Amino acid sequence: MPPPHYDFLIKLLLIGDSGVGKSCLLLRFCDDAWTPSFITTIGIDFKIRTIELDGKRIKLQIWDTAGQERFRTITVAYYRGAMGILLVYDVTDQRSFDNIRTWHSNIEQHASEGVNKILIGNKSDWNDKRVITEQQGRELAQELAIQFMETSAKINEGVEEAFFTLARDIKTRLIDSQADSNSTAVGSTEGSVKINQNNDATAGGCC
Amino acid sequence: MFNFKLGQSTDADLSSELLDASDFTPEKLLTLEYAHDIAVQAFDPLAGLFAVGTRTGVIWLIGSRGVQERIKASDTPIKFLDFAQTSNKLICLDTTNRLHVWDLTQQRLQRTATHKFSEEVTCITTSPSHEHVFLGLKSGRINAYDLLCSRVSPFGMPCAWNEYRKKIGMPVTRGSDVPIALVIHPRDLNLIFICFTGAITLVNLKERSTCRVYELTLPPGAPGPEWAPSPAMLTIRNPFVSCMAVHPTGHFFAVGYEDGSIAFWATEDEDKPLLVRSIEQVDINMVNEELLNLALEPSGNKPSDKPAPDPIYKLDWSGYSNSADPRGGTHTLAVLGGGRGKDSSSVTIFSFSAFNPTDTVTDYKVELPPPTRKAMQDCLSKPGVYAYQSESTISDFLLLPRDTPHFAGNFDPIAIVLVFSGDGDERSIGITEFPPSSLAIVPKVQGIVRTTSSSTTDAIGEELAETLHAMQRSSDPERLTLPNLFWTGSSSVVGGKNSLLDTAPYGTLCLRDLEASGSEYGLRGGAAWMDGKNDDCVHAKFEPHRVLLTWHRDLTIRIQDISPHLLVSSEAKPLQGSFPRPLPSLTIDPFSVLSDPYALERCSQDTLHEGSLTNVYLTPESLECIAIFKTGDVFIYQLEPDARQLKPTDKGLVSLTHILIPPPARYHPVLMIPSGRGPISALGASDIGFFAFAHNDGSLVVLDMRGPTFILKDTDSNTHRHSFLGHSTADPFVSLHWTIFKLSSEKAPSIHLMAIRASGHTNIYTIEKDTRTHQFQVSPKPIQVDAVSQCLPHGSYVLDSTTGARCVASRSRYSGVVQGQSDGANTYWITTGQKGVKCSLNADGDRLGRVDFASKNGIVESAHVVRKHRSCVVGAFTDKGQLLVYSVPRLEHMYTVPVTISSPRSLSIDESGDYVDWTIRDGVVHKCELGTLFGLRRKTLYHDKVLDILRGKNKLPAQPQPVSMGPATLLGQVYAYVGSQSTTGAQIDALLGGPDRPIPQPKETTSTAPRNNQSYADRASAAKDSIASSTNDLYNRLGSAASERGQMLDGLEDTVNSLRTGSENMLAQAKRLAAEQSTRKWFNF
Repeated sequence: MPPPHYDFLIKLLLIGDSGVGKSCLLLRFCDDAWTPSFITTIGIDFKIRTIELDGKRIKLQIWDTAGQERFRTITVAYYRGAMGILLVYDVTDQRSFDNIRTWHSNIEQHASEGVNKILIGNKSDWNDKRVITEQQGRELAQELAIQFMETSAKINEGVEEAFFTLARDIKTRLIDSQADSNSTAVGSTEGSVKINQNNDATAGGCC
Repeated sequence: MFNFKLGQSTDADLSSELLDASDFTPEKLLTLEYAHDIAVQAFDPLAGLFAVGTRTGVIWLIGSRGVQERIKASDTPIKFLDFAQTSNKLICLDTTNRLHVWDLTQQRLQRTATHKFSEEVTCITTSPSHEHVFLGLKSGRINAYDLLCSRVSPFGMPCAWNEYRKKIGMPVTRGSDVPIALVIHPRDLNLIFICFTGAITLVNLKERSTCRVYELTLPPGAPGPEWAPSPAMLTIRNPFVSCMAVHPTGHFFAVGYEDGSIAFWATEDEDKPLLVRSIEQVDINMVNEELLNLALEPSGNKPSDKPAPDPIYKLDWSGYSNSADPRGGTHTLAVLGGGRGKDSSSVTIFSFSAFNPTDTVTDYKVELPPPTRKAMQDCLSKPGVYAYQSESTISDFLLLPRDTPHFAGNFDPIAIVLVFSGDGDERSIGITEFPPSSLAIVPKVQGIVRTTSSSTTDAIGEELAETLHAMQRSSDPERLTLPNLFWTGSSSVVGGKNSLLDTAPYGTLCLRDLEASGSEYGLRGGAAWMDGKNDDCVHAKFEPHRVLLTWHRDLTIRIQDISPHLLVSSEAKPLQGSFPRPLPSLTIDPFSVLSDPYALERCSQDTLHEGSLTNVYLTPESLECIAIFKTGDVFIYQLEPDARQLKPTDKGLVSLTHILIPPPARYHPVLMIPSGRGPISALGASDIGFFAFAHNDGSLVVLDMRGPTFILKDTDSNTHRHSFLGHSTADPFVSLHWTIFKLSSEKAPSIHLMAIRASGHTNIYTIEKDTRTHQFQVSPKPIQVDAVSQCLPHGSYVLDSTTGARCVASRSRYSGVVQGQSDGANTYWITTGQKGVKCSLNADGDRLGRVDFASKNGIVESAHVVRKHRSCVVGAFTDKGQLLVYSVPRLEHMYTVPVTISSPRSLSIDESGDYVDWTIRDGVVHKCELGTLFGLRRKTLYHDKVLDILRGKNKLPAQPQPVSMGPATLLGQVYAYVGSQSTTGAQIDALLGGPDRPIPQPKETTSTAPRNNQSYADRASAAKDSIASSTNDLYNRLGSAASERGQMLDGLEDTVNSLRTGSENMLAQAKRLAAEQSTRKWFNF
């Protein structure tokens, strides 16, 4: 049985209007796949991907929520456990962009204080249908004081960067600061459980 | 004056040989207890031993052939109980967190260690492959106790779940960090699953690190086990873990949760379970749109009306020897809990198809390739289902494996122990066949090669035979016979009596019965013998035969052999069966009558629904059994009656001869007397076909089985007595006694029924044969005499004045009557009552003695006539533990003997002075003590029991080795072989025991091991030496390695070399096997 594949677990949440491509972003990021067919997400689901950041393996547990209003009561339940939230709109859908403020206020209301956020303008490849410029998106992000990126799940543009950016921010906020403060306390105390110790580091350590 | 003259001539003193108090030597011979408060149970398939721990701190250790030992372990309930196979120890933990250890190699079981843990121990586990016990503490810490060194090992791990949560920056949910179960990986001793309430963690012992964490999340919209729209469905749920079980391959496992979910996880994938189900539904963790839409509607957002599922209390995963594939064939998961509501108590068995994916999956970088995951899901998706159900609540179960303690003791089980909850702390068990035949998990029969039939006819014949055999098998598993220790719950004893039997009827009754030894479910271990003195053994051979008749809460009637002959044994010839010896073929189950529509229509409905037995009679020669129900219904059973159909001539009699009783049951119902006049107040049974029944209303009927017909229906003569105030109260018959003797007014003996009323008024009925019709009839006018008032049910005795023998209505005495042989001997009629005793000459003659009990020695609770050799006395038991002894016939008080009887009122005592003292609480017998008033040269035969608990213990099979998830390729086998060399039990012991492990040197044997068992003792000692030396060697190697790096590297090189050698060997073996297989193929095998 090999040792665990990650040092830290980060829970992310994808929110945004129905049809903006949240599930496609997740499918692209976790399974490197894309499908043109539209299947409404019912309720909520999650996928996992382990990434490496600054020499640390981080397991991302990414929850994909249903954008439809009727599922709002169940999706908000997830806000509090999330460490980072991706607010997604469709650059070809004005309404989805306008609703970002509503989604943001939902975050303010239900999510944990200080949760990391990033604004994602998806479907950036669909230029002939674009109605929201990148500048508009950036301005909104600035207004909301959050990060911004445009992505295309279809052509796999910006997807990795979006998730990595958010994950790095969270790592900086939660893990690095905690490790700094606990560097003397956690360490390699004899007898403690080590989540990720290489075999050679602890071989024979008990004897 | 006349009396005096009679006394001179006829009232010979029958007490001459019992004149001195020292002639009485009361002794308790044997105590039979019934375990009504079982708390935990354990089974050792190697030694064939079963153990239970009770809430009163007692452990019962049970093997076969009389091996049963009571161990008072603690004053508090037993919480955990287990066998440690490697060290031959029994371990238990009580509720005060004391761990107790017993050495089973000693004939007198010795507690070798007790350790008190300062923190609450919440779970415990052992492995048959090493000497350590893992203990989970409430704080989440895991400790290890070294059974070899009797100490807590230095190894310890803090709460893995808390450490994990801290490390990943997640808060610990309150209450989620309590370890509730520890499960050692079935094929890797270095891995242990720790079940915290919050999640399962998989821990690597060598690394002291958590490899995996398996936490179940039911997302909003997933119906969960409740499977109904409800507010809870809209929330995230992380149900608490309640139990787990690992598949025999170790590649996947099942976790039970408190909400009734069962999640199946692949060991290699902690992210998502393979499948989540409840007892009823699958995919309960997937969002269900239909139910979600209902839940989202305003009207649907309310709690479900359906009762919530019970938690999953226990899971056991079993593989079977039913496949040549190393990954096993069809496998089963036994689940306790998960049902809905109070009536849902059952153990559900899921049978899954074999996990044998045929594709070798190597193209994936992930540890659990999607095709393998799919194969796992496929094998779990459509299980066969069977439920062991019970009217009582099933609170626990235990699988009894055929021959290996590995795989958590669940591999190839042959029986299941079901634990039933009763009122309060009452627990009882039942043992049933496992697995259920309906699940068609047919074990592979070793060595049988099916050959092609030589002709079509043979093939058809074979198929037909198989089909018929399958049709004969009941779809429900058969319940197996329990040791009488477990006659609790519905099998609880509610009453009983002991009885003397002559040699001939004893032979008919007992000798043909084969004992149900429990070997059918692996209860075969140990040997026991009575270390009695030779004289006592010789003496026992001259003792009369005795049986113990008991009746039970479930209406069954059982007979056991308690003849002392059975105890004559020695070290060389140990006991051949348990004592008392059960006689299961004599068990009577009235349900066969109560399920017969014809009989049911005619008996009282209360007998079926809330019936209970008030008394049972066994006639000592004709061996007829009469069962009396509280309602007044009476069933008469005969031992293997002829095929003749009874045709009663009276409407008040119902023939039961049409009811078929399947063998091996030997008692068959023949007649029912429905309760026409309410409860029975007295019954008189004889060996000559006459029975008498009296009812509470004062009526009396006499039955002649020759018809069968009633030959007397006395419904109105003197049935009432009048009080001073003029009220009329019933004066029912309280004692009916059949006897053959000569009244003073008679010239020759005849058959008499002594019918004694509560007031003492007695009717002596005489049975005559009509010379014309040759029918028996009752004399029209009974002789009326006076007995003692408030006569006891068995308080009438007619004794031969010269021999003291009882003048019972036996076949031989009846034969004398028929043949006109005149037995002119005088008799004494003694009646014992609650307030005194009375003796009359020939019943209707002069009064010879009378005594009223004084209260100085306590209140007399029962009085009996007992006989030793040719002497008889009346013994009256008081509530202060005294036996008042009176002479016969004058009834003069001779002396008082102290005797310890807990319940004199319910005492049953036979003619020879052997008694059974029944301790009854809440209507059921908790204990019965067999004792005797004449215990000289009898005590040692019962008391000096010697046990050799481990006699016949099988060798421990090798620790199972890892198996590949893919098909058994040559490479896979080599990897498996190489991998298996990494962790042995001894290495785990060395790891846990630390560098200073004080391995005790083997002592010079002080055991009182039997001489002919020396070989076993030698072997055990040698095994212990071997373990100790190997552990020492290992420790020395590890110690040196820690101090000197160079040596460690050398050791590593050695290990690598040995692995290489092992691989080469394996390769050679594999090649040989391949060659063999190709040869077989050549010969078309």
